[in-house]
Amino acid sequence: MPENRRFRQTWKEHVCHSGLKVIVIEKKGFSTSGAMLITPYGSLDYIQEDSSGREYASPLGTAHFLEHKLFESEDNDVTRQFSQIGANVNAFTSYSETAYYFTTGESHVEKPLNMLLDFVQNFAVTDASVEKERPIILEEYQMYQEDPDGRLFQESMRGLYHCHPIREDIVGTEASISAITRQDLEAAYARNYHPGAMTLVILSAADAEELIETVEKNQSGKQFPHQEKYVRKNWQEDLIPEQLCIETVMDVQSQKTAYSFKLNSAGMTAAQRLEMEWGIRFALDSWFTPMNPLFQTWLDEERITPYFSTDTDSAQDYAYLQIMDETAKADELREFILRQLNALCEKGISEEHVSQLKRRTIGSNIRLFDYPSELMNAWARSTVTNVSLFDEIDVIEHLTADRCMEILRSLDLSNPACAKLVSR
Amino acid sequence: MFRDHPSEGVHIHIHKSDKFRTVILQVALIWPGEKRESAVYFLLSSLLSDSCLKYPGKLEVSRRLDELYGASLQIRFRPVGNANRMSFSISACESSCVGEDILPGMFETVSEFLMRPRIENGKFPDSVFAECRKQAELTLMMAYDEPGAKADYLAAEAYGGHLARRNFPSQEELDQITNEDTVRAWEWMMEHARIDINILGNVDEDYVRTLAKKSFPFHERRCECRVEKHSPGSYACMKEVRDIPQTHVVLVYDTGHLGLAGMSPSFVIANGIFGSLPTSMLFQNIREKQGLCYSIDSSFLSMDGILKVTCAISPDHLEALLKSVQDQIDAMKNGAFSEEDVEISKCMYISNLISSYDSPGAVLSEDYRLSVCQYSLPREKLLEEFERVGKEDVVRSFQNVVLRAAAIVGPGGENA
Repeated sequence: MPENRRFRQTWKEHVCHSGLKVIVIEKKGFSTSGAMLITPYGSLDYIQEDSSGREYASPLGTAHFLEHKLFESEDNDVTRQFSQIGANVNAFTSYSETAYYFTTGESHVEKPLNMLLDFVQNFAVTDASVEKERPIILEEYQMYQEDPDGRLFQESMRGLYHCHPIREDIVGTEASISAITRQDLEAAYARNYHPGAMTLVILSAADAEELIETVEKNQSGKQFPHQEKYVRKNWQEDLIPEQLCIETVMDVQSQKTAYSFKLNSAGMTAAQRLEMEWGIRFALDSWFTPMNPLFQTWLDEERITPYFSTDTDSAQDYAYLQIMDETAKADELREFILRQLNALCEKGISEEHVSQLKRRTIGSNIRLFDYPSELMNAWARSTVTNVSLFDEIDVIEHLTADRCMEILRSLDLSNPACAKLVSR
Repeated sequence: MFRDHPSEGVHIHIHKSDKFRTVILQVALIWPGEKRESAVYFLLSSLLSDSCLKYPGKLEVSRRLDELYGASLQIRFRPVGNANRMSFSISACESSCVGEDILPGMFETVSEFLMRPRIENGKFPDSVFAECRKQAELTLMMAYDEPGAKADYLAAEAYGGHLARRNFPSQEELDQITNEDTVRAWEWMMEHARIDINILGNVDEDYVRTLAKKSFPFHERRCECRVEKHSPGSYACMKEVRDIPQTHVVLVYDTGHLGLAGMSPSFVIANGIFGSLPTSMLFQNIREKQGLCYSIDSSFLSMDGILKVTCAISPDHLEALLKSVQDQIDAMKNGAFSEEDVEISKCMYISNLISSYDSPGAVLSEDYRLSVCQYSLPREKLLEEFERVGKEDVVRSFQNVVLRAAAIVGPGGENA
């Protein structure tokens, strides 16, 4: 059984005859058990291509709508079934994945494990149930529209991207949610829920072999048609932002401004993207946080507020760096950010800072292993990117100050898009 | 659990567990609270978090915590029931995971922030005071820009008592606080509050006890905090009209239950049937059957004896929502639910309670709760109590539920 000694963690991996990949994380001494069934199909995959390049399109928000509807089976309320045995069941949709999971205080998970596999591997959605769900999802959409931070992020992405689906919320738009049909859900399900495309991550104190046997037995009783591989449409975007400034008026008191830089991740492997993210993160943390003696001066001179922050994220077809603050003085913020980024690129960061940031990150990763649900989630999501949690630590440990700066200096940081949230 | 009592009003609790890679040290100060004090202590917690004499700036604080492998230091003020509570807690990874003993550093850090704040010539530095006040103002604005949080705030104000004390201070309250007020508040707290030092993790008990005594040489003190029932006034409602798509509703009910004593385990199970679980009446009838909203749930604040219903809804559905929530309350009082509903709620709460003991934070919270709250039940006892709850207990537990406060934020609030 594989073991990481430093993190004192063992696990077992197995591929079922159905193609389903299973990972069992051993948690001896813990009462909590759980499992997460994840497919690499998220909101950005609303247009997919097969190996011949043929496109399959569905309305924006289909992945999220499907996640809601899979909880419906012909004769049973899935949530109630899980609750009857004391298991919490839930799901989430993100940009690149949809995941279904349960957690329970019981160490015997054979029953909920079978239930999870059975409800996700059974499409039983009716036209009537789609109509019933639509107003609920529209309410959910409205809820996200009211969230100031969520809106700022969304408008930032609209400013950066011309056509990439990251421009829209994971739940879709009002129009697309209204347009989704049962047939869209069924087609998306057929393309993305084949066991060969999915991974099941189990966390338990129980014997790993027995758990794998349970899963294998469940899968052997089911028939799955041959599955073609579908991939996300290759969105071609240049590095020029779609719109240099977007102003959104909301009923808020605290005004916000974000500057976002579009980065190039095309052709990078997942490990290279991860190195880019951490390199940028370390460089920005070293300069734009209290690690920099100037940070307090910036606060005292009111160039920034205590809520000044930076963020970066990347995937195969998008990457961005974002710097935000609670201010409506967008021009002043822009000038400050560009000047400081120039100074950072010129002066660089110290090995001492990189070493400090590594200690911080490693400490926080060690503590992650004490939180079963978070660990299961992080492990499952790492299967979608194909970079394990331990590989990520390796990437971090190999970073040097020079490498971080090399990464940062390779970026075009001259042309940010601005998103402003202003009071009515 | 190892307990020590170095002086009157000062308690050390050491919970050795090799299950976790995390070690948590928490020093909690608790004293009887009053509404007018809360604003000062909110601001004080921010001043204490910023720096201390030994680590006099953000740079030094950040460096210190990174020396402890990214330890997380939190200094929080939070009224609990009718008491005030200021906690200093640090969590870091266990020494054996990083190959160096970081436990003394954890004790030293908390000790410096607690015992030696950056008070010079009877004041915090003016620049730090101004920055913390500004941060509090910004936090206030940001928090209440979120309409659900604003509805929660208004509901607490309408209810008064414990709930109102827990709200962020208003701008007017912040404006009235002087630097000297915060210093006096710190001095008073250090002199009078009951002190509980809790440690959880894979630690040597003797070693930790020595570190605790050396780091926190508190003199004796007398402090009696009792969780008492708040007597609310008559029903009150607060509204705010806001130009947003949804209307946010918070309804506050008095339950007649306080703490985890007497009938309360029955009420916890009742709340599972009523609104806290996805199988509940609120979720199933209002979201799933009527499709009125995406989010609706209820929570039982056991230390306050309060049941709170929270919902975001289209303004067109507001009237239907209010009627439907009342229908579910009536159904609970009339026993219009099944034995199976009771069993499901029990099963979920028992499972969640067992699971919570895999979280270092939850374990430490229970250790603390058991040491300070006269109504608290240990986990084993609580599990037994949950097992014993029957449908009649649930119905009985709901009889005194009365709507005491409501808050509505959004379009349509003016007509509610």
